[in-house]
Amino acid sequence: MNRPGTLCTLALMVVSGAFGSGIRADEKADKLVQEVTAKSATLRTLSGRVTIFQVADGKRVASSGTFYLKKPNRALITLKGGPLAMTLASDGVSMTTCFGNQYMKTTADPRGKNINVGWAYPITMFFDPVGAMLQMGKGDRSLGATETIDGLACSTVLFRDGDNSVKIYVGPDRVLRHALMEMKQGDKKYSLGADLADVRINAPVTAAQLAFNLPKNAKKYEQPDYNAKLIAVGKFAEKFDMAALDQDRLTFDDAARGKRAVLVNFWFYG
Amino acid sequence: MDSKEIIRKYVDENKFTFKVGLTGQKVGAAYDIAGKYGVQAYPTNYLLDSTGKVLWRAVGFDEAELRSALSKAGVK
Repeated sequence: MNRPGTLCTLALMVVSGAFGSGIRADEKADKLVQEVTAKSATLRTLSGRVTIFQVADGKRVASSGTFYLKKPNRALITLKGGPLAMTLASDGVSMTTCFGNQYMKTTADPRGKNINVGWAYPITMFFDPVGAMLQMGKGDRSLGATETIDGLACSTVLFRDGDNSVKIYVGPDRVLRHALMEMKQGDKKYSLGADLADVRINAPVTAAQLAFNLPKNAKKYEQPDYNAKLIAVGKFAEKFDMAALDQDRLTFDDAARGKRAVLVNFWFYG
Repeated sequence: MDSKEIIRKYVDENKFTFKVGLTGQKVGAAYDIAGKYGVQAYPTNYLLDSTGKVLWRAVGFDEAELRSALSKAGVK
């Protein structure tokens, strides 16, 4: 019986940082976040339909399916069609994630904290409300206008952190129905969203609904060995001569002149 | 914004002081330096001595490991 108490205490710690701003809308947002977290602790099962989507450069891709969640750590989430298709099955002992005919198996977290598909916050929220709120709540939060999702008037809270934001849509029953993340990189805008529909709260979730069998042709995913092609210690690396950001070229000889060593860091952005 | 401008903005915003090369490009030609260094994931770091010999390399970033490699190289 300790668990709900622990959750509430942590939730208060999460929201307390935002108190004292004196702005009424923020206090309302904090109160709503608190209610969502408290409600989540009372949920035993959650099931329905789910869609996750991403929009990049105006192109939208999505995958949809069903979800069956049961505390403490059972789940079957099936997303079909599109590039985001996947299946996640947690039988309480192990958790299997399947992409096409490849699968990965890990140990099930006792409280289902590793049960999540992509950026589906409404699902993460069911098992790990405190963790989900921490992920969203780094920035300022404010209450937004009420919007209709799946026929329900949903209250909205916007978490803003610089150019990035997360907006959550909370049903009258204080269960998340929708989450939308927006990010900027350079002048490009990306958004990631998750939608729940036909949500059933605390309805029986049966063993049959949670049953999962690996596809017959399924192969275990082997993580590539990213060290495999690196140049061995003691061997010589090519002395580069390449285009550069602030000068015409960047050469190894220039970088090494008068130095004992050169650190070459390959990074990626954009 | 082209990729060079995006990177310049990122470098400026983060006040990076190191020299930035652009992989895949050589003056007037394509140049797959990342491929030549066997890079398959980012970040990948190499520590080379002044003759180009590999002293240490790693995928990912572990500051303690890098510091130890630098001290072995007699740099810090």
